[in-house]
Amino acid sequence: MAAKPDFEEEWLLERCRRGEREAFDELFERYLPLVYNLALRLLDDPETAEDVVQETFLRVYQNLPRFAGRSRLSTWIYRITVNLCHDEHRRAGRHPTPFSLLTAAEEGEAQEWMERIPEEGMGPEDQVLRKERQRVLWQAVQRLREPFRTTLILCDLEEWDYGEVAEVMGVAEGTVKSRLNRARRLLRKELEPFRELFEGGERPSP
Amino acid sequence: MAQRRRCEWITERLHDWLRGTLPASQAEEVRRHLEACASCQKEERFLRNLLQTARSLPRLAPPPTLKTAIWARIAQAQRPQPTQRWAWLRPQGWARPVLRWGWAAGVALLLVMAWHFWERPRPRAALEESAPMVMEAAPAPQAVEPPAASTALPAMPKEEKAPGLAPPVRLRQRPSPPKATKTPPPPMGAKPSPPRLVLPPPPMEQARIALPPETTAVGEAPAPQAPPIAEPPKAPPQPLETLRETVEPQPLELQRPAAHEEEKARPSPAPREPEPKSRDFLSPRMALPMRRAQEGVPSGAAGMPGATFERRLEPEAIPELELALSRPLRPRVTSTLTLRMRSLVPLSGSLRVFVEEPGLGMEVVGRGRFRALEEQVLWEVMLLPEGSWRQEQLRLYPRRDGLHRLAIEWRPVGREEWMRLWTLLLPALEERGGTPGSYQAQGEPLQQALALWSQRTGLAIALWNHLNFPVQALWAAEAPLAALQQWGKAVGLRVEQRGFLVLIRPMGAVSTERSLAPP
Repeated sequence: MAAKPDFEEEWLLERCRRGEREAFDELFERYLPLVYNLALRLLDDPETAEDVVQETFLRVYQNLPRFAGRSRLSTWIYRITVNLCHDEHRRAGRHPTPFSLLTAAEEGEAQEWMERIPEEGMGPEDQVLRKERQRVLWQAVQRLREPFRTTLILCDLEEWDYGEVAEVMGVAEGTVKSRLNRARRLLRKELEPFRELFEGGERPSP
Repeated sequence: MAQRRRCEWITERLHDWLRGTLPASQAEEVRRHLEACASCQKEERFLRNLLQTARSLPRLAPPPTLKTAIWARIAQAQRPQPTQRWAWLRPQGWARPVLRWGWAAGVALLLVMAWHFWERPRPRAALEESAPMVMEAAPAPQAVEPPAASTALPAMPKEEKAPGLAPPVRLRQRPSPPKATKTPPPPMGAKPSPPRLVLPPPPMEQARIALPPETTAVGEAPAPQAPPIAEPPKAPPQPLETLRETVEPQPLELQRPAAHEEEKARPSPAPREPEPKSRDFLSPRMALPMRRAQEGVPSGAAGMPGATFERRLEPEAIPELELALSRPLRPRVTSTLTLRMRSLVPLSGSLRVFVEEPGLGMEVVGRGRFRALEEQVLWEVMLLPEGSWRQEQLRLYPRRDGLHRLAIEWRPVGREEWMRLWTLLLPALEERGGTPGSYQAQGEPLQQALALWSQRTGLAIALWNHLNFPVQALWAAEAPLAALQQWGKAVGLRVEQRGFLVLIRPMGAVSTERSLAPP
C-alpha cells in the first residue's frame, strides 16, 4: 500500500526519531486504544493483551529510528501487534478462559472506548438478544483455527481493507481473500445451530 | 439449477454488498436479485445481523495505567541487567556444575585440612603422652566450627547492604559519561528522578543526544535533594557510598498511574542558563515586530551576491560543522531554506549566516550556544527589499527536553520601512485575493478575515512563536497554541507547531512554496 502523505504523522515521526519523549507520548496516545483493542480481540484476554501492548510499544520505541516509512506507520505497528499476538497464541495454545472480552465489558471493569451501535429505541428484549448474539458470535470466532480466525477478525470485525490485512499478515491480497472466504464458511458452520438467533428481526440497519 | 448458481453468486457477494464495498454494477445486480429471491433475503438478513453483532462487539478503553506501564517497560528494557556487572566472574557452561561441586569439594577439603592440622601436633603429643589423648582428639571436629560460624557471617553484611541494594542499580543507569562534562547541568536539577524510570533515548539517538532527566522520569519522588545527575559536570566521580546516600532510598512506585499526569501538569521549569535577553525573546508579547519597529535599529548590511555562509567559529567549538542550504535562494519574497548542522561534538559558538541577494537582501546573524549535536533548522527566510530588515538574530529557544532550538528574531528597520514593504506587497496580495485588511473592511472579524485571505491567496502564513509575518497575523502570536488550533479548526486552517515554528495553513493541500514574486 502506498504510504499516504500524512503531514502530521510525518512530523510526529520526525520528532520521535529525534528522541522527543513528548512525541512518543503522543504516538502512544494515538495508537494505544487501537492496539489495545486489536490485541484484545486477537487474544481475548485483557491481561495478555496488556502485555502485548507493552511489548508492541517497546518495539516501536526501539525500532522507530529504523522505520523506513515504506508502509504506513499504523500498518507497521499493527503488524508488530499481530505477530506478537500470534506468538502469544502459539505459546498459550487454546485459550483457557474464553469470552473474557465480553465479560470484561459487561462487568464494567473497563470503560468502553467507543460507542457501540446506538441502542436508543432498543427494548430490553432486543438488548438481551444482542448480548446473546454477541456471545454466540464471539464464541464461534474464537473456535476458528488460525490463520482463519485472525483473517476474519481483521477483515470482518475490524473491517480493514484487504490490502492492509495482507500487509499486516505478510501475505498476498489474494491469500487474504481466499482465507476470508474459508473463514466465513467455517464461521457459518459454527453458527449453523444458532441460525434462528441471527435470522430473527432486529431493526434493519440504516 | 441456474437459479441456484445465481443464488450462490449472490451470497458470495452479500458480505461486500452489506459493507458497501461491492462495485456499483454488481451491487445493483445483488439488489435486484434480493427483491425477487426469498432465500437470499433470508441469507441477507442473517448476514446483516451477523455484521451488526460484529460491529456491536465492545471496544474497551485501555486501562489508565497502561501508558505508564509502557514507559516503565521501556525504561526497564534499556537498563542493563544488574547481574551483568559481575557476570564475567560467573562460571559459564561446563564450569558451572564443576564449580558448584567445587565449593562442596573445597569445604570438604577445608574440613580435612583442619582435621589434619589439628591432628598434626597430636602424633608428637601422642608419642609423649598416653593413648587416651587420642581419644580426646574426638572433639576435633569442633575446630571446624569457626569456619561453620563464618559461613553465617555473610548474613550480617547482607543486612547492612540491603538498603543500598536499589541504588547501585540506579547508579548504573546513569553512568556519568565523559560527555556529561560538556553538557551543563539540566534545568531540573533540583528534582531527583527515580533512576529506575530513566528513559534513555531511542537506540540511534543514544550516542548523540543526551536527554536531561526531566524528560526521562516517569514518576517523580518528592524527595528534595539533588540526584547524582545534577552534580556539577566536572565533579570527580563520587565514591559509591556517598552517591548511594544522595539517592533517596524510597521504594519506587512505578505503576503510580497519576505520576505521568503530574509530570505533565507541572509547569515547565525555568531554564538554568541565565538568559535575560532571550527571555523577552521568548515571550511573544515582547517580540512583536511592530513594537520593535518603533525602536528603530541602525542599518548597515554588507551586500554579497548569492547566498553565503560564513563560518566564524569560536576557539573551543565546532571542529566539524556542515552547513547546507536546501536549495539556492531565489529572489522572491519568501523562501524556505533548511539549515542542517551536524557536528561531532556539542556545539558551542556563534554562527553568522549571510543571505544576500542583489537588490533584495537581508542578513541573518546567528549567535548562541548549541548543545545539540545534530539539529535541523527550518528557516522561512523573507527576502525583502534591501534595507528593510536588519539583523535577524538567531537565538536559542530553550525547550523542556533541553535541546535548544534556534529561533530567529526579525527586526524591521523602522515604521517607514514597514510601510514601504507593504506598499510593495499590497498589489501582489490584492491581485491574489485582497488583504486580510480588505476582508476586515467588509465587516469580517479579524480571524475570519485572515482565514478568508489565506484561503483565497493560498498563502501559508508562517509564524514564529514570537512572530514576524504579516501585521494582521500578529495577534496570533499572543494566543497559546491550543487556542490557535481551536480557532484554526473552526475557520478551516491547520495550525501546527514545528519546533519553534507555528505554521498556519489552509486545510487543503496548499504548498508553502507558493509565494509572492515582488512586482
